Amino acid sequence: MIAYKTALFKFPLYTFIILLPFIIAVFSAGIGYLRIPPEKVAGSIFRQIQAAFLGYDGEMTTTDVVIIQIRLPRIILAGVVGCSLAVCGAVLQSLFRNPLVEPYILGISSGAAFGAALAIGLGLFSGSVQSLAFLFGIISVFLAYSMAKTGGEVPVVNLVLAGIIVSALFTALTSLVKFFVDPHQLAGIVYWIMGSFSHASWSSLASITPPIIACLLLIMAMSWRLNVLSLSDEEAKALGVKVNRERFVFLSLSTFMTACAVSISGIIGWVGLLIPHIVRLSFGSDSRTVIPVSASLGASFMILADDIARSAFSFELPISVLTTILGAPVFMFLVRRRARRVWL
Amino acid sequence: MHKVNIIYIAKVATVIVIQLLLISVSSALTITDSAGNAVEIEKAERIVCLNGDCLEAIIILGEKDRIVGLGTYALQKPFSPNLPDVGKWSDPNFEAIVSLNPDIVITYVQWPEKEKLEEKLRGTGIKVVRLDFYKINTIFDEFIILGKILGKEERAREIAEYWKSQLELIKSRTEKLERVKVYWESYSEYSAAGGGTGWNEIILIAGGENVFGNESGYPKVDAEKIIAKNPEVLIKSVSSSVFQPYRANNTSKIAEFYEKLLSRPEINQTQAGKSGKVYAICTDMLHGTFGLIAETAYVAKLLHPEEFSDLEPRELHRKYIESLGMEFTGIWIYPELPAERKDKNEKRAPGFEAILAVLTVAIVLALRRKT
Repeated sequence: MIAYKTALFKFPLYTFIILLPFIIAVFSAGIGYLRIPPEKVAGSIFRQIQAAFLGYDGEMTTTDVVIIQIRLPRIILAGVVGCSLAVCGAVLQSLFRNPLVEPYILGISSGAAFGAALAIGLGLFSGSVQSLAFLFGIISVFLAYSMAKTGGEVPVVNLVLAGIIVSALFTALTSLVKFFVDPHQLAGIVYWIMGSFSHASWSSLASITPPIIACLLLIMAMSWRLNVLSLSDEEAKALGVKVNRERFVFLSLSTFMTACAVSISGIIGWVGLLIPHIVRLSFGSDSRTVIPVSASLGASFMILADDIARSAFSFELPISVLTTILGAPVFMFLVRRRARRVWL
Repeated sequence: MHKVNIIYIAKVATVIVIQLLLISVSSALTITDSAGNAVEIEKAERIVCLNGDCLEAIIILGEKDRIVGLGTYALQKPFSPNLPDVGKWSDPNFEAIVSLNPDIVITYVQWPEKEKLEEKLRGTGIKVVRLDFYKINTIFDEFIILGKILGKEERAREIAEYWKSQLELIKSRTEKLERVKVYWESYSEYSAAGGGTGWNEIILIAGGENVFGNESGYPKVDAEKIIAKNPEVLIKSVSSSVFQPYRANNTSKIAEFYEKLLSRPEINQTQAGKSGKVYAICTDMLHGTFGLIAETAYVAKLLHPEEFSDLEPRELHRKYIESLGMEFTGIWIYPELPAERKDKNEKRAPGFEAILAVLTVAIVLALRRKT
């Protein structure tokens, strides 16, 4: 419980960290394939706010459209997705008492990929890709959880094994869909699985942001319980915590968050593992610190990675590739420097 | 000495004559396919087609009955005969092919790899012919080679010449015209048709310039890049599941799709969106064999409506679809091209005029009676 003291001492640092994604977002609005000078960026945002509050209704210029309709939703989506993946990773790492756990451990990514592949392959109604990805993401975690449940207990080892089984099953099913669809749809499935923010829009944001923020706030409010859950089951029980119930609550919240994020952006790897890990290495492992700092750094990292993905070349780089290339060296540096520090 | 020489010459001559006779009797034909392989063909009565493109070519030549097996995707074509499945064109089922006892197998130049096909078929006597039938630059020669194989060289030349002349007509005009900037989006959203693709080829022949022609394959782009490139015409490929082109009068699904396309934020910021030159095109029954020329004609007309006011892409398309033994109905491009709308008005006009004529006559008669 050292974090209580450090929290006081490090107040300015934490304020900065919490504000970081917003600062990065503002600068990111000026970055892109089209060169738009900062004053014009500020101008369009200001005009848009004016329009929203004062009812000023003018023609949108191309610059306005690029900033308001294309860049902002995309930046916010990247931030929201980065935030939810990082928080989900942090929660699951505490829950599984294992630093190598990532948000996809219970098969949510394979489930979502299968849902998306099915929707693309069958060519269903518009929006079906997101809905089916979300649905199958949840189903896969539910399957893994019920598989792991034995006599009212949900041991961590069982959960990990069940996750592997469910992942394997849905990966095989996805391959089956890929095998049967024609090549045009195959390309669509491959693009979806690689992950991208190019589908960002205000309407897609409106559907996923509120649940993600709600889950984030709930997790933050309950983060002290996460500290208890990261003890061994016996110790936690001795402290009067109903381990299985708490674990279920945290799993549900983090699954819901990740499923929301994945359904819009596809599968983006590495962030959920990297960010919480970096945070733990630098700030200790008190969940009350780890969760908000992970949320903030996850969002910042994802926005930066996406800035490069969308503006470096005239085509778009797959975001998963970038998160890994950017993250790996940072991670390696930190691990080597703090190698002796005990994890958790 | 003289006698010996004469006998020797006579011997040699008879041997040559016999050899010539033998060659003409066995009549083995040697062709060079598009992969550069010399293939000796003794007969071509039983043919396996691994892909839809060679299936089309054979149907157009009127030799559908010789096909004994088809690739999985070829079987999904609406004009496909009901035959045994021999697997995907990229990864065929060797045993299925052998069990059909074909004389030749026709496949793409690049796929499947030699190890997957020729080397496995070695010793079976089944010959592999590699012809693409999907590249506008090689299709005419390939069609004539197919004609030779099937013993219908003259007919093949006739057909190839017709389509070639149509293509040359378009080419000869577009060469002089100013190039129009085109963004061609493939089936997935924000996935552009880049350099090296068939659509890039068509844009160039039709007098356009592909704004993403410098990227190879199907590069992923985003809204902002499309605005930055500012295309003058936007073409979106749509699969027939959305277009339902065979249902002549039902445009609701494609209209809905088109509305959604237009609502994308970048479209209205481009020259194409502002001038209303955004088109959805169903390339499923267009982007193969001679459909490529009909497709080129559609695109040429989209890019240069004035210069091609006399060109009727729909007629070329009709000819192509009918050569596959299907009925030509439905809408393949949305919104429809200006000339086609005029076409419809003309069709409607006689009926309208007839009603007018009857009415005037009736009025005149009625007036006469009163007076």
